[in-house]
Amino acid sequence: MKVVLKHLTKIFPSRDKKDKSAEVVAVNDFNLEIPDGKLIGLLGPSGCGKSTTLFMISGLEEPTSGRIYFGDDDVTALAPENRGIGLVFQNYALYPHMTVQQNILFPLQNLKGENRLSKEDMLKRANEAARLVQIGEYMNRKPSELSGGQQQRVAIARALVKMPRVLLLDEPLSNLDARLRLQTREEIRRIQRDTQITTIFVTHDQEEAMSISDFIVVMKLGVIMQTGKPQWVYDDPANLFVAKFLGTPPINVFRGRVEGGKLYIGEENVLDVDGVEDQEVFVGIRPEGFILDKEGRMTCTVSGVDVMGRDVSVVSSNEAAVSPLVRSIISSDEMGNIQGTTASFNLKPHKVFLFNKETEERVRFGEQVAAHERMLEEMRAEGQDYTTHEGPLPREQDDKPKEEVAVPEKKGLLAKVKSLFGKKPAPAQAPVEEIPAEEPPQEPAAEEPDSPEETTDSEAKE
Amino acid sequence: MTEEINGNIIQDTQPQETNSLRARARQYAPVLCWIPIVVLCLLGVVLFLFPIANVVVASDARLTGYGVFQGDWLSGLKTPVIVTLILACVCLPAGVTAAVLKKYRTSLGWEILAVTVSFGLLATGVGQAIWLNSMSFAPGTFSILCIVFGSVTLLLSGIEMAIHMALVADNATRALWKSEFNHYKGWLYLLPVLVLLGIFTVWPIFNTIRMAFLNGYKSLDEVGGQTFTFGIENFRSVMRYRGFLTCLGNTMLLTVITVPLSTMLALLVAVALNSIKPLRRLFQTIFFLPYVTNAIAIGMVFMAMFQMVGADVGEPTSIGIINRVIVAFGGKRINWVNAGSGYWSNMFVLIIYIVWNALPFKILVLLGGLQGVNKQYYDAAKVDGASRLRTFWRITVPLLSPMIAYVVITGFIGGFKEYSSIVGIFGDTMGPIGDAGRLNTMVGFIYDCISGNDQGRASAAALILFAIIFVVTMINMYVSKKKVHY
Repeated sequence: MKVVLKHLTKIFPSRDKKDKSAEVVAVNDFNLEIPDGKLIGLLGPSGCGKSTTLFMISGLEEPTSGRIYFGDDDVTALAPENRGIGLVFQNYALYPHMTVQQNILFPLQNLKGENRLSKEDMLKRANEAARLVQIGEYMNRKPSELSGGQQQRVAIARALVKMPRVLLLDEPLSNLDARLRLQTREEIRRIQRDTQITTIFVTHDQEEAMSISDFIVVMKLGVIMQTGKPQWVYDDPANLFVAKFLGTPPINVFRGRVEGGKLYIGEENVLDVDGVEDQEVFVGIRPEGFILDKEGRMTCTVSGVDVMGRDVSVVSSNEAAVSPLVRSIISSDEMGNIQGTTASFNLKPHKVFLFNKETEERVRFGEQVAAHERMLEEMRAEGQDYTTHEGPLPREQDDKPKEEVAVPEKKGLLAKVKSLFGKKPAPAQAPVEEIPAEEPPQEPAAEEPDSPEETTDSEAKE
Repeated sequence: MTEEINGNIIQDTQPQETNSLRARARQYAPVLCWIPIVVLCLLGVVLFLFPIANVVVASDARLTGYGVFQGDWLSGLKTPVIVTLILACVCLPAGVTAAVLKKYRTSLGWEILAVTVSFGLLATGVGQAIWLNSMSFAPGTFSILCIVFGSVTLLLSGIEMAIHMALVADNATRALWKSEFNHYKGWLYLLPVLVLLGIFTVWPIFNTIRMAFLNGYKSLDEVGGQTFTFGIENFRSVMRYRGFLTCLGNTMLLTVITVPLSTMLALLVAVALNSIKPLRRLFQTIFFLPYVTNAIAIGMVFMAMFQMVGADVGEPTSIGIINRVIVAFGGKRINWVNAGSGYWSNMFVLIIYIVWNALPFKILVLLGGLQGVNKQYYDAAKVDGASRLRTFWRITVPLLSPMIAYVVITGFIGGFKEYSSIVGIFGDTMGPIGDAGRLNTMVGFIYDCISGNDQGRASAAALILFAIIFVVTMINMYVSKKKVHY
């Protein structure tokens, strides 16, 4: 079933309903077309509105504006039970007082009228669903007697048993341990392939989303940043946020500038970038985009080398880097090229992304332009939309200069109140209190005189 | 499975409500659901506030003739109230002082709590003791006694603190004594409570058992030097006694009817309260008010609401509000509680009153339970297409079952001890005029035996009541173990 979201917006009113400035726009003008039978991942940091979007699709949240279509049906006003969806909650929400079988049967027992099945059919369906998720042998247990992974599969079985048109998964793996998570995500992938049910999957874990989705939607602050096949989004990020959000280890970001078709990081000319206007840029380089080379054009100060089996991760620093550490992954054969504390790199052009410093939007150069065109064509051929965010990028609220003005005001009020009680204003006190906390090395020294006493203590006990 | 799912997706779960009329009906459904809730709440306000308002205003002249509102009831209360107040005034500063003095130490929370609680219990215990008319001590003696207790506790606490302060300097010794000291300290703080428990709870229980098994025991005779033989004559005499079966029957009847009734009503009210947002706090308070009012006073208000003055000598001079309503709707007035009234009309009034009185506590407990239920189960049930009724029976009730079990068990125990409601409505004759004792209960029976200086029989009856409560509670526990989901 194709799912289409048109101009979907959700605004949570502030507690004081009149206060417009405090209302939260969780999802902002969300347009998306989800093709039939695909598994798509809604991906973004926490608080970006991905779960709200999911709950709006499920019908548990009412959109402030916009429409939701399943196929050609407008389901915006339908109650959740009439939408034909299966929903798996983050903590599964299995009914604790029912056995696994009763849990799976529950949605079927709720069917009314002509849809109602005979008891044998219900049991048959429940058993089929249980077999599909491989929990057949636990049918008579209570959820509390199952492991997290098993509970999760029961939740999926309960969602699947009524043959939903759309399956919705809200961070289904976040409560599982690392090993189980890997296993379960393969399982989800398999179940989705077997059933061919359009599945929407919410996660904040980019690795998870990349590994199982046919299609990912990267969100930030309620806005779509980019959509596409995971590998495409990884290889061709549309803006700095997407580039930073995808990939482990994360992309390395440097401050740089383009002058006369040459890219400078610090004072070094690291790459030739044809056809790019002179501008200040952020340079994103994937960890695998470095080649160790004695003659390399970019030099970094090496601070450590992590050997991880086949690959080697070189941790270094560079003055122009935004973060203190620069991580590069190289093959272990090239290790010998590190001389002392400095390493010289050449860069793979298709792993280097330039972003305008003001807009943080992608500036493509050389080969990248053609590659982008190829990707768009391929996408069109598959009937998928390519969506990226246009216009000014949303920013976190604390980035805003406005807030910075507001904070001192609050402090002023606090100081006023405090002065009423004859105390010093808070800001003056705060740093004084912090200083001792920042000096942990002194503490062991202070404790030393105590240790002889401790021995006498133990002696006294004996 | 694969093909079947593909095939069935469209057939099975195609939404049926695409036509606009039904969609619109669905839109207005939540608004309609509000109507019964609002009606219920308004009914609750009327039912709960009216009797209380009556007590406060005491506008009904008939009440003032009853004794409770006569002048001397206050003077009887004066001494214990004053003693309790004085003690409260002592405990609070004591706790605070202890807190301030012990500020230099890390573990002081539970110690202060212990001190404060012991004083609180002391005050309660002493208050209770003074209430017992049969106590041979004068109230004055007790005030002195409790002040002594209080001083001893304070003194011990002070000594302990002094020792402790002295020990602070010596780390090694402190470490050595720490574990031992903490144990002894716990018992020290518990001491006043333990002594009081011993005097006012353990000893009376022991004494009850002793008296029950001394044939024909009477305390006055014992004072006179008579000795009693050991045996089960008291139990036989209870069984033979004419009123006993009536009392047992009344008690059983009231319990069996009121406990399920009040539990179900409380569940309904709690669910309704839980589903509204505005004014919930207000309604919560209103529904809780009966809990904090005096059972006997409210009982008399109920009597006033149901009674007909002068019905026994001919045409009644005035009739209660219930009969007024019945008459207003064209019915015939009913003799609920006065002379010549029927057993079942008496019972009806009693049941209404007991249920009314039992509701607040149950509502409070169930509402607390409801608020602890994870909202996600309801979301899941909604997605699974469960109707409101099914959600209630399959989700709410099972998840609330521990609370329901608690409410039912305590309800049964309270039901078997029913007494004050009957005194409130019918007076201590335990029945309408001309038919005294008809509505007597087990506890009433015990009181009657005591007032007849027949402590042996009273004790035997008390033990029988205990056995009944014990057995019923065991059955309750057994059933709830099977049915309750923890």
